[in-house]
Amino acid sequence: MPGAGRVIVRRAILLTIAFILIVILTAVILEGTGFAQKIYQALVIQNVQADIQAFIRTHPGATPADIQNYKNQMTFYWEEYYGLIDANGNPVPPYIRMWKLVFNSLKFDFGYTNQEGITALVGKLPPQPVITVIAGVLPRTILMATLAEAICAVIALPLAPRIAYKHGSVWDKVIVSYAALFNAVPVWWLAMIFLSVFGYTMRIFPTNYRALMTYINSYWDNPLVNTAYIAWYATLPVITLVIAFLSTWLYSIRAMVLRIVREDYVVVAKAKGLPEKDIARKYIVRVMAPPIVTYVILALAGSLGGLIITESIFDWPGMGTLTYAAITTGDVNTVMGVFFILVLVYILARLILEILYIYLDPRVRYR
Amino acid sequence: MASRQVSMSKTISQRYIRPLWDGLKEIWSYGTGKVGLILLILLVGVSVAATVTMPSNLLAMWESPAYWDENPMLVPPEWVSYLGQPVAPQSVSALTKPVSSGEQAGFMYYNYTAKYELTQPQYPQDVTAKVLGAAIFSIQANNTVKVISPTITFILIRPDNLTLTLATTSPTISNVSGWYTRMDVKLSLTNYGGVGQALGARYINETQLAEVVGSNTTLLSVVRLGIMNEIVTLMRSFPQYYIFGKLVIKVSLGNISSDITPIYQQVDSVLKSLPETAPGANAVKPGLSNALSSLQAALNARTPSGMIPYLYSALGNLTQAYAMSIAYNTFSANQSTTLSSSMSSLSKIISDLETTTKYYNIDIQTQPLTGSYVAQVIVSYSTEAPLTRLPGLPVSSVRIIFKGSAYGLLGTDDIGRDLAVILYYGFPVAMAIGLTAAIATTLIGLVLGVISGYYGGYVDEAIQRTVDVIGNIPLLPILILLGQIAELVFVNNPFMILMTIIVVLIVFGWGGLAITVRTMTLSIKEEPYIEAALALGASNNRVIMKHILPQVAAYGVASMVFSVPSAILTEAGLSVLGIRSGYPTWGAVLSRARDSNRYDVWWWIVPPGLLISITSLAFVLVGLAIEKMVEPRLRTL
Repeated sequence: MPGAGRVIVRRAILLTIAFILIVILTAVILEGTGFAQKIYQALVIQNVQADIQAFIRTHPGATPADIQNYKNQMTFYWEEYYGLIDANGNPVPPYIRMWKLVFNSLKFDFGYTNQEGITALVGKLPPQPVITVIAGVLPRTILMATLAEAICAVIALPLAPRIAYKHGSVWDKVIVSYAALFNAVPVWWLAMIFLSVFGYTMRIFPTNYRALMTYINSYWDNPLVNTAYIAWYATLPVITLVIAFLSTWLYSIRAMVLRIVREDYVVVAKAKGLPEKDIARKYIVRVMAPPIVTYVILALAGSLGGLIITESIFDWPGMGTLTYAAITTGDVNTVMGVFFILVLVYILARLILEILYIYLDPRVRYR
Repeated sequence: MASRQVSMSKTISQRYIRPLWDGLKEIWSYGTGKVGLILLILLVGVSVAATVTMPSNLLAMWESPAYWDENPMLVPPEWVSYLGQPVAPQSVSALTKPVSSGEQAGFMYYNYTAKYELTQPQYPQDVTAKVLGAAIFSIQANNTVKVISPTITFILIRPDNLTLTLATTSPTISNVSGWYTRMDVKLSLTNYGGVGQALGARYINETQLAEVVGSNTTLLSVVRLGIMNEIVTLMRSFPQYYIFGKLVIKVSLGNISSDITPIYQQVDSVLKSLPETAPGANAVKPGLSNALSSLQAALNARTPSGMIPYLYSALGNLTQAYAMSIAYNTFSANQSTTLSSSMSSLSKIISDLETTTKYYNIDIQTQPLTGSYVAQVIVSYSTEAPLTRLPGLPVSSVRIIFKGSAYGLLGTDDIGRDLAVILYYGFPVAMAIGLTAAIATTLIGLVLGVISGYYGGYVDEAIQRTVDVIGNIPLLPILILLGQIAELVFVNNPFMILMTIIVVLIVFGWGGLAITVRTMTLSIKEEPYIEAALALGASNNRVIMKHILPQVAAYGVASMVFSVPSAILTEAGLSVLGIRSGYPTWGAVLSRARDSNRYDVWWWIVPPGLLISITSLAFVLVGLAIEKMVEPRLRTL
């Protein structure tokens, strides 16, 4: 299959280029807009102030000149620390910091985070390596978003084709109405309502999901009890997401099946009197495979980014919350780290799809 | 000329209006399309109405608590009364003329009155008044400048004929420019002590009190005072329960014997441990045993009034015995300490009884008092004031506000905003955001998709690589990041913040459509009639405009209709996260509910979410119908 190999190499190269461009674009947004500069300057002022306070406490007899001297010294130290100036005290322009950010990221060196709000997500004190924080937070998002997508896949994959076969039946209409309705209802609003009803009013499920961390962090102390607790915490968010996502899953897969069922060759096969089972297996499933596999893999890969708004409603300590905390505290390293990992996963998923297509779609093989 | 114009309008009608009309008719023929179109027409109608009636200071109004200060805070809609929940209505009386005015004892009175009917057993949230444009005079008298300001009294006469003086104030300013100036005064309950006293005087059940306390007037007045203080304390947290409530006050005796019994035991132990041979035992013993019998009598007494004389007698006997014992040196050090401590405990009990309510349990319950209330604002000036020289009345107008326990169509939020008004003005903003983003995204996607597919080559490659970048970047984090930056850059410029969000949605949103349109164009390009057109000498532009765009346009319209809700949902989601433009959007209302962590206030979180959902649903339904037109295979057989 020389054609397929070339196709894959070409796609791999193109996706790598896209990936690098996205990393550069992110760096441009972070550094080029002056966002990071502003944040860094605020951090320098904040740290220097803290240092001076400490200095005055430890040196009661310091003269104003001493304090000024110390202040200059510490300002220099922190400005160099945050990369605003180099070792000689010359200001480092944003574009140089930008390229440094790009190259360090491409070397998988995401640096450290100094924000307490971020390291608190993994129950540690700053500074922490960004990669540790991401690795600590990712499983919780898998527990919520990825699990919900997986449940949707398990329900929708067998169910949607059946509905499509019974096109126009009552069930079909119910499912289409459900899909239309929950396409329109925001997931995070559904989360608010569920939290209000099942959490605050009926008190069946917890209202503060940040506590989930405790059970995950100390999981091996008492795996049985902790599993029960984690399940209790995960239930409401997962149910919310499944209700919201299943609508899209059912509708999309139903549409994919419908398009194929109405193809001429299927009609011909039916007219020839082939058994329904054979038609389904040989004429439909085989053709349906590529779009459906694409849908499933991209949904699962995309879910790793977490759902920023829904996670924030539940205060779920996952990737979405990390992303939001990183952006609002202006932690450039973490923002870059999160973007890098998310985009990498997504691009890798695309590449895997390209490879899978060789097996699933003969047209790629002989292109 | 005329005929040409006719033909032009004919062409326009044939080319654009007829297909549009036919398209709408076809959408209407589907069930989903019918519902969607009806919803859409309603949405557009409300949006247009809201745009026309929108006040120019909407943004300032939305952010200003002063604008909403006549509304109750965080109350449900008025129609909850139909669900069986008792409701106290909202009532605002604007009075420009006093009900009565007159002169009395050197003062000129202006009396403004408002009536309020409370029919259902529910507490109104508050009663307040505003005196607008009250004149303050500055007159020359004996070579000195004298400032004369009015005394304003705010009175509530209740259905139980109790008159509560809620507030008395005398607003004043040091420098009056000219001979008079006008100022506004706000009145609400400040006279807690007076109101507490009045309520206590009315609702303390003297018979029950006498049963518990007895007839001792000192003790009775102490308990009365204690009850009034308790009312004042409670009233500071929930004034409406007391202003609009009837009180049920129950006083019962606490555990006083548990304090007296130890004293009895101590004295008893001292008496029993006293040897007959101790010096002066004969002089000390009678005092101690008398004290014991007095204490026993006090323990047997039913009321504190009955106890007090016995307690005094016991204390007197003990004091005497103690003095004797010192004279004879009767007691051991231990006994002496015990006796003196029991004496001090006893005098503590007596003083607690006579000055505090420590030994009583006071229980105050309130119930809404239904009936007619009358609120009065009395403005009085000393007759020295040159009232007659004033143009008009010394007070421009008085507003008396009874804040209800429910408000309007959709209730209020935490600063008293009328949610119905705010959500109404949210319609055009939501529609503008959705339509702007959708139309721009679709146009860019269509044009770039057709160009990419038709021309191929480097242009195609460039467009596809761009789509690779924008299609793989996580959109929401980018939006949050750029929204955050926009908030830093465009401080106090809501329009630019909103535009930033919309532009980001557009820039990162056209990729999917472009790729689909490109694929469609690739297959259309191969059709023989395109080749024929080109062979006839048609330019590329003509082929694109005449043969390709019309075919992909239908798909573009479906995609546009589908992308309206996503823009609205995204903006609302960003608001909920805290990336707010400053416009009173539905998302902004939700975000305030979220910020104050009030998920239990259903009228705050349900209506905005429903409006977002219904708006999205209208477009989704229309989109589904269009999709069926464009993709006949989805049609029901």
